[in-house]
Amino acid sequence: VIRIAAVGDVHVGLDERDRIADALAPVADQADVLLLAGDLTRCGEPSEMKTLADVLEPLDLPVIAVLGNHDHHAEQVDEVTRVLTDAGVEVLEGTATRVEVRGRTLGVAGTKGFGGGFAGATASAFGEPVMKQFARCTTDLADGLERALRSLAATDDGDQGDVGDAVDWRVALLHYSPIAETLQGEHPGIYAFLGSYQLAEAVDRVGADLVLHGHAHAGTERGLTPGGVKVRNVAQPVIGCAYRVFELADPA
Amino acid sequence: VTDQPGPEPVEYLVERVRDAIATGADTHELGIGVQVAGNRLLLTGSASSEPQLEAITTIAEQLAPDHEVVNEVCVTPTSPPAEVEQL
Repeated sequence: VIRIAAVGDVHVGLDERDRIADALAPVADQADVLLLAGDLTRCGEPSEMKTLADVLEPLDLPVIAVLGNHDHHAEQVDEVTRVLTDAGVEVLEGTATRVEVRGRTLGVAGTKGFGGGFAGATASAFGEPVMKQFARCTTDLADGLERALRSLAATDDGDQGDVGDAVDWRVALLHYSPIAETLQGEHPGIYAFLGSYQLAEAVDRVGADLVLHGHAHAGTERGLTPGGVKVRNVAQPVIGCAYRVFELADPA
Repeated sequence: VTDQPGPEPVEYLVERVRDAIATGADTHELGIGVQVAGNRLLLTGSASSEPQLEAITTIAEQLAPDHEVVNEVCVTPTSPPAEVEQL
């Protein structure tokens, strides 16, 4: 088995080192890997990310992250990413990574994702340039997620994916939601700003064991993609604790 | 055409407060619910820390001085998880 700790939306600000350090102190005793589902900082300042990175660096387990919209606010994405990678955190955006755990391999594919809405209430790339940019951004990020997931999977013709053998478990790590179900509790009028069905479509095309996301603080925790993959909203205000721990059984 | 507009509709105040909390340097909290009932302005949702909670109250009080601000925003708990979910 593998145990995956996950949390999103920790929103670390300056002078909050103790809060996050206390919250994450036991994680290496409870899990094999820690996945961070974006909105790691309050407003995307490198100094905020450094506060978090200093807590993550000494943890005795691999840490994998995607960024969230808050981490983009200061428009210093390259710098906040570098702060994390310097601390040994793998930051995913349309990319995948592998973690070896007791002879088996966990593959994690990640993207921040974006809005766009869900069946019956979606944005299309039509009209004003800014509207086309909004809709195409989601499509591009979902395409990146699909490519990243495929790199972890054996292909239909028996060949392996782009970067090596097929993994034992595949997890998609997002910030924005792939389904409306885990947004229940949020105002329906803002669903299109909270996620996109295209993220679920990317997952369902390839298949995965689990999808993790954050972003929806007033949402609910559990759902399924239309294709039946389990989805968990691990936004810290939703889970009401430091992180969740999920156990995936060994593949048959 | 009405020459003398009436009192400002309450929904404009609600959105002004919500937007200020979302974009304020001390808050940056996009998920705060804002409702007005009578002379009270109710804030709901979650914040990551006590200082953020206080900053949210301050913004609402500054923008709605004629209302009693009732802040029912909770600080998100960060205790260890009680269980492991087997998937």
